[in-house]
Amino acid sequence: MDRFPAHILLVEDSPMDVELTLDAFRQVRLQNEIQVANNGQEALDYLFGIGDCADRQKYPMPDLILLDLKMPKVDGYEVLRRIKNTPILKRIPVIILTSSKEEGDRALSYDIGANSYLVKPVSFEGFLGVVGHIADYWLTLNVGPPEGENGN
Amino acid sequence: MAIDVITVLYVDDSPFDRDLVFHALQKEHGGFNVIEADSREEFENKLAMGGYDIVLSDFNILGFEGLQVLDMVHAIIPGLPVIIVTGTGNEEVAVEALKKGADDYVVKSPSHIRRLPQTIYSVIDTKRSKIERMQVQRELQESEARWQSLVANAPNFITIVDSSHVIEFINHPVQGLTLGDVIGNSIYEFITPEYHDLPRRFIAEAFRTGESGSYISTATGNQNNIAWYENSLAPIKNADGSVVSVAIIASDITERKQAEMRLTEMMEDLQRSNKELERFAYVVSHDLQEPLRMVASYVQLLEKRYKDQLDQDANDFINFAADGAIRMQRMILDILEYSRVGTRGQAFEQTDLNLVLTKAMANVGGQIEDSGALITNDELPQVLADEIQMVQLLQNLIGNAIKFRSEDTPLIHISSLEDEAEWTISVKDNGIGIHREHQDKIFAVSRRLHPIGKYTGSGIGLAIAARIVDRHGGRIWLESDPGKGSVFYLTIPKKQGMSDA
Amino acid sequence: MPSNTNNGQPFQILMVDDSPGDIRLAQEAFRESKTANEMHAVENGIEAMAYLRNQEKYADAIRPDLILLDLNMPGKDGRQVLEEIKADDDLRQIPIIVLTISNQESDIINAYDLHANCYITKPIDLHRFIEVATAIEDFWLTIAKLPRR
Repeated sequence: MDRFPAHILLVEDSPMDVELTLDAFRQVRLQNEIQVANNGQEALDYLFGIGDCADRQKYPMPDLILLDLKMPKVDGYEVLRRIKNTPILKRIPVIILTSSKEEGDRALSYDIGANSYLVKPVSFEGFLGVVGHIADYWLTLNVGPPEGENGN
Repeated sequence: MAIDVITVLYVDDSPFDRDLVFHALQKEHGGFNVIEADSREEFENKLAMGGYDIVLSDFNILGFEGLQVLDMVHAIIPGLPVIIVTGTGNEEVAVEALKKGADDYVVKSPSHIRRLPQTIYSVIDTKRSKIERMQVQRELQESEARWQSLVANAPNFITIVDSSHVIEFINHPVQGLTLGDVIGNSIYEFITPEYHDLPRRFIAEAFRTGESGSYISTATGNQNNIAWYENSLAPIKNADGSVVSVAIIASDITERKQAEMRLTEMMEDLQRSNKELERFAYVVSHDLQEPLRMVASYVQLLEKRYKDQLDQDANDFINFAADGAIRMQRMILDILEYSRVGTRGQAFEQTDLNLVLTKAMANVGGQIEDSGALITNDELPQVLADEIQMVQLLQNLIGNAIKFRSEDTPLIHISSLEDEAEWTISVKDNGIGIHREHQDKIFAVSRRLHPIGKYTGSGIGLAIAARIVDRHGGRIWLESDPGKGSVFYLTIPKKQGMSDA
Repeated sequence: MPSNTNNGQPFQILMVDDSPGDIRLAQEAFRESKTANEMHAVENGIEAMAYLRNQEKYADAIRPDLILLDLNMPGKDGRQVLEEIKADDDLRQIPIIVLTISNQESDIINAYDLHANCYITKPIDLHRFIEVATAIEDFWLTIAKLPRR
């Protein structure tokens, strides 16, 4: 199950969480390319190829999206809804990575079409574990949509 | 061709007249070599010896009747000119002599005889040019006859058309037609309609540029089968160089064409059956996986749950079964992967081999890490190829280089070479190398299916590499120094023609 | 609340697969699981929908936390089941893992388009099967937050 280095889009408005996640990915020595969108609007611009993001050499379509829910203006639900209602884009697995343990958030996320729902751990150790599982499960075991098929 | 000395045979029975004539010729200072005869008998004898340029004859000679001398000369040496010298100035005699075939006449009087040398020259000249003309004409006729026969018997059709492409000439009629049926008609009445464009363009072009050209056309042959012709155009120009008509030489290439078509058909059949075989291999290997999964999985479950609970025989049997199932699975996966090259290929696109190399290295990242291999590369080109297969190709070659490494740290270098038609990519390693006698077998699928011994693993990697290169219209080979390493070379054409994708 | 149960009850896994061999393998593999789970199996799409909607003999069936869904089955196949579940307001939250022998691109794309939560090809032997079961368990039953039953 050899996969090319996967492209991951991390949508996260908290600089601290961005740093933690990137750090954790570095720690598990995953050679993935991680692009960061700092809010919902940036994520949509990225996915819909608006402005600079039209250059797919520089901003490749992700193989996996890690999506925070609580963000100002365009929140995670809106991003998720737009992704899952758009042909081709909707094939990309989206994992919600949020601090919310609310059952309502969980239910709504799965309802809109989130592929999975993870709660941000409080410790860095916990972060490492989550990232390790994401890597093992989503980047190794899971068969993602074929490259080149998830948008142009 | 000027004759320095003119040899004259002169017959006259009058000594006086002979002196007169002789004297007249003497004035030419040796220009004439005069052989004299004074009787019919002597004349006949001397004439028979030959070597004369002209005969001078008296009109009335003893023993001859009238102008009988002319007949005799013409009979013995045809074409030898004869001038009659007459004693009288009788015009009737002169006319009669000319009628009988004398070339000229001269009156034997002191005033007229002075003209004799000029008359001789003029007669000889006239005669000679007449002969030359006749000869030229004869040669012309012969040449014409030769050409006619050549053209008429040529197996090709030779047609001449005018500027409106109407047939002016054809060397022999098309089967079942007369020359009259053909000449005066447009050439297109004899060419299959779907092949009108080429001749129309080429003939017009020949008229316009005066250059020759060639094209292939078809015509309806006898029994309504299609006949193929290869046509060569030869513009015919007039003195000022403008094209007045165009000759078309058509060779029947039907047999060659049919052979070509048969060959193409056979090639297509072969490709089809190859594809079917590949497809069959794919389906079989794909479908075999399912039951084999069950066998492998449940033998493993047996092993897991009952190992050491039965006797040693049972342990052995389970081991053999599990091992066999695993090996068979590997082979099936190999066949599947191999048959995928042909049946699951993608269209060729511009592909950056630098990116391909990055992906290939990521795919064999584990092997690279475990072996500590150092992989370097020059700047690689963009090629027209199936990207996924290019990744597999490089990954298999790198994997092979790592698998057959020596005790040293594996060093692998990938570089490229460009020429007009193709790229040559090389993968160089410092591994154990391959003995010459194994080099040609290394890309064959047959022997790689049985990976036994020290270097085991997915044994079909190089066969798949070769198949991928083949699908891209390139070649693959290697140079190896046993104990020092190998270099694998492969080419990728810059222009991709036919692919079996 | 311990993470290896769902609100104190064993995780409910529904496997939809027409191959008894695969069902048994999955049961064997999940039996080694650290988490408390119960495997239920049905052999086609019609049974699956009846199970999920508590119809007839499945009146007492517990709503599953996770569905393992094969694609190629006689009668109602996995694609239809996927489409039906994801169109059902009540059922669509349940994560569906497509678990199939197929690795055809068209099947993969189609599954994601129908909102499969993830796609896994059936392992070729027992050891890999156990690895897959462990990974599914690790991710879905341990780290991921599943919707409440």
